[in-house]
Amino acid sequence: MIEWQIFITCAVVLMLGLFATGLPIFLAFLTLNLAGLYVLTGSFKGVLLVVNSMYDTSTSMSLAAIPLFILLGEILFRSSAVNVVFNAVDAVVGAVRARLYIVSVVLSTVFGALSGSAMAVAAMMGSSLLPEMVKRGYDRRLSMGTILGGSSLAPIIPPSVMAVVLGILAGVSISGLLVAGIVPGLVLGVVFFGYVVLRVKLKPSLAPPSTTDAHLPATVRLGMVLKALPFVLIIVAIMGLIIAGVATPTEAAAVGCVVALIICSLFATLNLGKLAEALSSTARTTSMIMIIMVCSVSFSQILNMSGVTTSLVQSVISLDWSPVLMFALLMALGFVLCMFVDQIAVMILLVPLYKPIIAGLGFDPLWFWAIFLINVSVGNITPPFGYTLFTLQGVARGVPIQELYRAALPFIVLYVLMIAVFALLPGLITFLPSLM
Amino acid sequence: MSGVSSGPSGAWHLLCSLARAHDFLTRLTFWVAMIGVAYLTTVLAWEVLARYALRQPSGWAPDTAALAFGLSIFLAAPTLSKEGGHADMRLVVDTLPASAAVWLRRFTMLLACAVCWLAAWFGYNELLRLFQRGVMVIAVTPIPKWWLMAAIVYSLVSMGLYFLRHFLTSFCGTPASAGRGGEFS
Repeated sequence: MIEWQIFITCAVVLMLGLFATGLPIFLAFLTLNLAGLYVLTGSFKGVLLVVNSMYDTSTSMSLAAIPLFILLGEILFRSSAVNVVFNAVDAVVGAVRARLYIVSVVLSTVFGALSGSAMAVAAMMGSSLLPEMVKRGYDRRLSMGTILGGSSLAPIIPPSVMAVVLGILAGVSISGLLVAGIVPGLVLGVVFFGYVVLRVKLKPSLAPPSTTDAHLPATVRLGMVLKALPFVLIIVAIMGLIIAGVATPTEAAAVGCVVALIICSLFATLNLGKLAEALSSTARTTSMIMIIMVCSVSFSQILNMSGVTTSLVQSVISLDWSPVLMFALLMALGFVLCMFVDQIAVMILLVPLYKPIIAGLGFDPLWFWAIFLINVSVGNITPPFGYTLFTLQGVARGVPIQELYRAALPFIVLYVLMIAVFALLPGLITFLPSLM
Repeated sequence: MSGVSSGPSGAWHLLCSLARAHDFLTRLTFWVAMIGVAYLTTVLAWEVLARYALRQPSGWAPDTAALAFGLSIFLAAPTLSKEGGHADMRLVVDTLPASAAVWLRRFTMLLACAVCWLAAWFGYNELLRLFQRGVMVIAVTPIPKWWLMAAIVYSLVSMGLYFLRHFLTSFCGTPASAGRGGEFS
């Protein structure tokens, strides 16, 4: 048996090397697993383990929440429900100087909950709101920052595909992890709100003076909010079913999809053509995410077989460092890796290694993984390879990537500060799940 | 592809026909994957309704939903391979000189094909075992395990074939198209 340090080093180097070649991520994991089994058993007969693992993972009903959350977002996004929500938020914010910054933060938060995809929110906001903000004289960098910061709340605020993936990998309650994201997501939204208001107060030139067209009669505003209510209620209903213990997250998501189907047919522009588009897009996105999951789950089994897991935990525990330092190091590793590697890949790589370590350190799993989820969500906007940065650059034509890096920076700092706050005040995360 | 298609031969026509048949099968299975997603949604929502409103939970709904979920993953995957739609990290490749990037893409396509087919071979052996022994899923509703295993094997073989097609067409097209497209005609 080769030394575990050599095994894990070679595994990580090989994986990063395969990622760098542009090989699809699922194949990088599959190659790594096949190579690992060959090294450990001396033949490819162990490939059967990978194949059977693919079978078991693909029939996991907990993971079946992924296509359902995606479909829910697709239905809402393709049926102009987002326009109704957009108008409602626009009307509620009213005439204040930093108006469109606030609209951007609030919309990103709401759309994050509706879609669960940071890139989808960034693409939509970047193509619709950003040009309008720039046209009206809002600072482009701060405008892009609000979109980047707000869209990164999508994986945190339920329903969240990433929470489902992390819950499965970490072996914690998916319902608990979904519910644990509510308060941190909303708190982060409020922090971003406060940040843009403060920035404009300190430097008024960042936003144009409020215009009279933002003043709407109260009845019109109320009407717009009432129109948006059914769509927001879908998300509230899903979370209600989960918190009340009436349905599993997968079942609640399925009910949410059917309710969304009915509401969007009645109050929005959903038709059969758009439904077919939504199903097609869901099948693609689900397959893209799940093929990575099914090909990589046996990675943790191979780590166990090689003795890496046990040896690593023993080594880490024997360091006898303070839990605070260990927490900071575990989070920092995830944060740095997310700068270069896709979030799901980072989770698949780190979670099997972290799981026994956090058990050994005595951390509350729900608290730790909820913060870890926030940590990897920031990876969407961390330079140099944050996917959301490139998505926004794609829709906001003519913006150099360096400007997007600078736009994201203050929001990354806010995320890191708030991660520290959530770590120090665990009740913010654990209170809601404790009610279940 | 004009350089190749300008000198048509029987073998080339045969390859084109096979590629078209492969693409047709991929489109067909993608539709099945879409139906799988629709079934998964409907049947799970129905299950909640049946459990609480009708007080008659079904045994078959979760079991068939799990099968539909698995099928939708594997039957949609070849479409992603065909269209270059898998999640990957191309930023390093994109910074390389064009010729180096093309050769790197060719290497990854060959590696991808080999890995898919190796896994498919072991999957095929498992499929035969499950079929011959009539192994069923341990659930309320017994479903033959080979149904989903057949989809896994099909998916791996088809994805491997697309990666091979991308590799081969990279010698016919422009450097920028290497590894994308996968069309013979």
